[in-house]
Amino acid sequence: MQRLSLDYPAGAPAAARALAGVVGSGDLEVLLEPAENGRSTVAITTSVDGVNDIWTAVIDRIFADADQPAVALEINDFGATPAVVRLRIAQAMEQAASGAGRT
Amino acid sequence: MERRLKLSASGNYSEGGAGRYVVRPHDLLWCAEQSVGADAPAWANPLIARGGPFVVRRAPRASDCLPVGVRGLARHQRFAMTIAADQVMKTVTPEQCAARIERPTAKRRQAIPALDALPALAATLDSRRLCWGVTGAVGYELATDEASCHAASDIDVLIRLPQRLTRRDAAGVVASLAMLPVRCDIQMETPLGGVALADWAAGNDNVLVKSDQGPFLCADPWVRSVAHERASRSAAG
Repeated sequence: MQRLSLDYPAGAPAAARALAGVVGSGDLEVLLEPAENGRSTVAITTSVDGVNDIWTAVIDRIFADADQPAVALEINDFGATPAVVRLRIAQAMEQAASGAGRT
Repeated sequence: MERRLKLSASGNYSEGGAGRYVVRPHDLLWCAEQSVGADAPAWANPLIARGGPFVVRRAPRASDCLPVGVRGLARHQRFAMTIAADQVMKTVTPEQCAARIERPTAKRRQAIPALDALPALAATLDSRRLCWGVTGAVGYELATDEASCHAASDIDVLIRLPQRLTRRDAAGVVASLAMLPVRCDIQMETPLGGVALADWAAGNDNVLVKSDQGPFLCADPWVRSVAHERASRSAAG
């Protein structure tokens, strides 16, 4: 089990909280909560050792745009591939933006 | 040797009996001895050299090659490679693993809750008339008789669903499997690809589909959609 914390400049707080993904091999759970103005944080717990560099590269790219809503992401990873990581985070962001997130 | 072994171009692995000779994701393969590539990690070398078992992966397929993985004992020991389809000598499907749930010894069942829970799992899924199989570490151990599971292993299950499972029925399966003493990780094999049963049962607008062309989100994995076509195209391009 490894933990990794990242943070990025961001815009205004996200509109709502959201939850995407499932507990299961090759997948992950993303809990998204609105964060304070101007800063997004990402906390990852992963069952796979030795993949911090891959995670950092994937998340850096997702948060490259500093005008995105400020979010606090809590991610529980069960060996998801980078493509699955991107889709699940996009799904959570979309839910938060539409305000229709599961709570 | 299965004479009618063939590669599927469609990526639909949801059919049960009829598609038996199509090599599908999660099938275990044994081959002739393979030469070990320079990029293979040391732990994988003996497995590759002796010709398997290999686990079929979801990835784009060439006309004569199969995407496979090699499993080591540790969780992070996974190595992706391809093998020539005409090298395959034996296949064991997840369904065939499920037919071997009596294989583990009493001592092994006592040590590994996942192996001990298999009869209860089978009773639950059979009572719902589902076409199902076992994958992951448990499937690997059932197929090989090699100790692959550990005390905390969950059970990876695949259910073939060429026809839609309603969300209500999906939630029913999730609830009945939650009664087992071991966590089960259930994947539905739908016409568009693999979908976590929990994802579909939760009633989300979109579910994540794992296809040979990569993962994508879609509203209904039994209906070809714009998202699916886009995913296929971007993989092809």
